This record gives sequence, structure tokens and C-alpha cells, in this order.
Amino acid sequence: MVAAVKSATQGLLLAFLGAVLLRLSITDEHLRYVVPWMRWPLLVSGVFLLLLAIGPVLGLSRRRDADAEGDARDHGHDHGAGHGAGHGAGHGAGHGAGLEHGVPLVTWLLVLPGIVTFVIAPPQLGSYLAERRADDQVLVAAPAEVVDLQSEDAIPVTVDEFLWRAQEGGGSMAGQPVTLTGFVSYANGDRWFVTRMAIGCCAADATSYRVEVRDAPAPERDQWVEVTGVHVPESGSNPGTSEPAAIAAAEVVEIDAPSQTYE
Amino acid sequence: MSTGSTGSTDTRTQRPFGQTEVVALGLLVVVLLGRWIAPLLDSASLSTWSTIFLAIVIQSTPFLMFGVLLSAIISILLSERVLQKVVPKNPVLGVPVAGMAGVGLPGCECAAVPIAGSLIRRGIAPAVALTFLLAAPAVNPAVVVSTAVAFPGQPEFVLARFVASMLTAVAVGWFCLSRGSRLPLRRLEQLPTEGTARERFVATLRHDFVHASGFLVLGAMLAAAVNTFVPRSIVDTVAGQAVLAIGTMALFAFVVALCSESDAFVAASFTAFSDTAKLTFLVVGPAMDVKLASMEAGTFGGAFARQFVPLVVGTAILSAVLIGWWLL
Repeated sequence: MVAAVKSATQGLLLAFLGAVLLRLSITDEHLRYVVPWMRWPLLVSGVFLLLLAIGPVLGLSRRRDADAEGDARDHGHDHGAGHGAGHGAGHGAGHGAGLEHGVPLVTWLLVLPGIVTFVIAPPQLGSYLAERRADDQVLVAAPAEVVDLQSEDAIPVTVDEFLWRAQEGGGSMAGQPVTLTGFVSYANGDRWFVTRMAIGCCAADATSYRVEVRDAPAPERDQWVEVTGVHVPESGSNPGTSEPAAIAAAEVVEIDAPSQTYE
Repeated sequence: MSTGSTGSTDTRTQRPFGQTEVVALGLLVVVLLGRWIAPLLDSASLSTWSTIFLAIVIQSTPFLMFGVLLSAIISILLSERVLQKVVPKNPVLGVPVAGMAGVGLPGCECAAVPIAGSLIRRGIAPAVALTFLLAAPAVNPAVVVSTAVAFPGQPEFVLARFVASMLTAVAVGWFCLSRGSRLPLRRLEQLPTEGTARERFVATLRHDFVHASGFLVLGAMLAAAVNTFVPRSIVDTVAGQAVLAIGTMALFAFVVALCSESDAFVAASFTAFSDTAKLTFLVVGPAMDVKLASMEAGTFGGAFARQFVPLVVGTAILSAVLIGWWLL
């Protein structure tokens, strides 16, 4: 039998969730889960939850005082504010219409986001999901900004822009050396990909973008790399077929993961 | 559900370690020892599930907070006179008005549930509040813009989504109106009447947040599991069959529980599906998904949710097919 969540415990759960949100917003950890501008809503929500928690948590100490004085009808702060018409009835039957009684048992689940944060410390999405989603058909929309590709030197290009150019036939980057940044994922056997996840709102709507790397030995899974090379002509021009966009690598450099891993 | 009778409460607080102290101790252990427990649980599938679960929860919490804040304002601060002015007296007219009012709430679906609850609490016809609940996440400007970005060069898609979502909300609203008092809506709890306005405001805030957030976490757990373990390519296998494709997209929208501001990008990636099937995904998702169903069961009662959820999903599919056939 799961016990009902008492008022002071509710306060504790709210404070814990608030503290987790604050921690995620102050550090860069929120970038693993949501888009960058969510930092401020998270900060505000975290502060808000902590403020909401003050009442019930203080109510804890007040009730203790009341108990010590042998006052059976406790008049803690939260009761004063929380008990409406059901105050008397609530004490008799245990099911008042007041705000404190009748909190659903699922409220216990509020503790889960915090436990997950501290115990599992979920990393940014990586090769596991990218490989599971490898068969998804990815049709890339035209990027808002397109890099000007007219240079002798290698130009950094995002993975989704590379895929979009390949999808358009690849003529716009024929022979042009480019640099792609992403993590390593594998597919059947020895093929490997420079991979990037893109998110719209949060990690739940992530799409994986990947470009096959040829002519270079595969690094470890999830290792971040910079791959410099040229587009393999014709590859990735028809996203419906099995031939993925590919880059003929001249150089593969292992790097540390960037703070913002999503595109 | 509650067992918080006075007797047990009193005996618990007299123990040296009550519930609150035990929970506090547990949380302390988690915070301090978490880093040592983590390697024991190292598995790619668990960590992926955790990332998506946490992402859904922290993405939704600020929106829920916003909704709860607005709901407390409606419940406590809005005067009777203003409320009477804004909402038409005739609920038959109120239903489409509530649908259009949804355009003004730029937020995810999580914000809409507590707001609808507070409207009912203030004596507004449930049908009107429910129409707002269904319309707001689907027709607000943020959703319209993201849909236009996800379907470039297809303005008719944006229009179709708007019309089909509005049709769903208004149709369900009028149906609920015709059912009237036979709607098995749980009587919403009384608001605090004691204390100053500020105390009542804070108590309402806390009450609404605590009541909705547990269900939000539950929905996020389920949606994260689907996201992690069901590859989208499985869904693709039925793309060829018209009827099956529409049903599958509706089911998928229900279980993945995406944010209505980003679901258009996911819908656009289902290149193998017909436009009508994609539209179904976009109309069902904001109106009803596993996260919303869970929160609605918590706010309005399980008996209500068991009727409301299939009603909304069915209506959404019908109107998406109808509008898709007409506009796309």
C-alpha cells in the first residue's frame, strides 16, 4: 500500500524538482534535453517551484510545534490556506474537499525526474538512438542559411546542409572540400557514419542525420570527429533508396563533444 | 485514493521519522551517492530512455507552470464581472468562441489542462472549457508557424491543420454540450475560501501543479518508452494502405506524445505517407495523447477520461480525413 503524499512531503517533492530545474538551467546540462532558449523558462520555473515549496515545508515545523502543545486540531499554515469547506468533514471522514487531502498517488512520481538526473545523469542522445532510427527516411528541408561554398580550403558545413545538398543532386558542392562535425555511429558491419541529432523542441522529437564516411578507419562509437573530405558524387541524391549520402574522407580528427550537440 | 485520515496523520507525525523525513533522507542519499550508483545502471537503452523522459518532463514543466499560473489567476483574481463579459451566456455560441480563444494561448498542451480545469471551477459550461482545451494547443500562432516551416510551399497544409483541429474542438464541444449533466465529470474540488487572496492564490497554484504534474511524469514515462523502443520504420511498413495508414498515424500520434510545436517536423519526415495520413497525425496529436489522457484522468476523473479520450481521437480522425479529402 502506497501512502498518501503528506503536505510537507509534497513541498519536498516540489523543492526537489525545482532544484533539478535550477541545476539544469544554470549548467549547460539542459542542452542535452531541450533547445538553448529553454534555459530561461527552466530557471523561472525552478525558482517558482522552490517558492511554492516554502509553505508546506515550513508547515512541517509549525505542525510539530502544534503537536508538542498537544493540539489535536493542527492549524499549520498550509491547513489554514488549504482547507476550505471540507475542513470539518475532512477530519471526520478522512476525505475532505480541502486542498491537502486527495492528492493523487501519482504525485510520488514527481521524485523521478530528480532521481533520474542524479543517478543516471542521462547523456545527450547518441549512437544508440541514431542506429535504431537508421532506417527512418530523412528528407531534409532547405536550411535557413546556406554556407557559401567557393573556396580552396575546406569549409565547415552542418550535416543537415550536407544531406540537403546531396539530396539536391550534389552539384552545389562538387569537388569542394568540406568539414563535417558529429559523433560516430555504425551500420551493418564496417560502415560508419558521422552523425548528428537535430531537435525541434526537445530530445523526444529528435531526428538523426548521418553521412557515411569512406576511405577512413572507423573510430569508436560515439566518439566526436571532424571529417574533412568531398562529397561522393551521386550518393544521397535519392533519400528513398538505400544509398546514403557519403563523404570521401581525406582527414578524420577526433575531438571533444561540443557543448551544444544538437543541430 | 487518499488515506490521509486524521488518526493516521497524527500517529505518523509523532514518530521520530515521519514520511517527510524518510523521503528527505532518501533524496539526500540519491543526491550524494548518485554518481556511484550510475555506473551500475550503465546501459544504452536505459540512458536513452532517461534522456527522452527527462527531456519531455523539463520541456513541459515551464508550460505547465505557465498554465497553472494562468489557471490560478482565472480561479482567484478574475472577477465575476469580467468573466461574464468574456464568455458568451449561451454555451452553444460559447463553444466556437472558446475554440477561437485558443488562438491566443501560445503554449503546449500541458498548459491547457489546468486552465480548462479552472474555467470549469469558475462555473463555465464544461463543454466550453473542453473546447478551449482541445483547440488551444493546435491552433495557436506558434504551431501555425512551425507547421508552415515544416511544410514549405504547402500553405494549404497549414490551413487544413487549422480547420481540422478547430472542427474537432467545436464538434466535441457541441457533443459534450448535448450530453450536458450526463457527462461523468468529477466534481472539481472546492477552492480555499479562507485566508487572504494571496494565500488562496498560492494554495491554488500549488494544488493545481501537484495534481497535474504527477500525471505529466507518468505520461512522459510511457511516451519516452515508445520513442526509445519503437523505431519509426515499423510505422512506415503500413504507409501503402490508405485506411491502415491513417489509423496507424493516429495511434502513433497518441503514443509518442510530441509537443504540438514540433510535431509538424516529425510528420513531414513520414515521406512515405499520404498527406491525409500526415494531417491525421497533426490533428490527433495536440488534441489527445498519452500524456494528455493521463493528466485529464487526473484532473477530471477516470470515468470522464475513458469516454472523452476515444471520443476526441475518433472525432479528430474523422475531421482530418474529411478536411484532408477536401483541401489536400
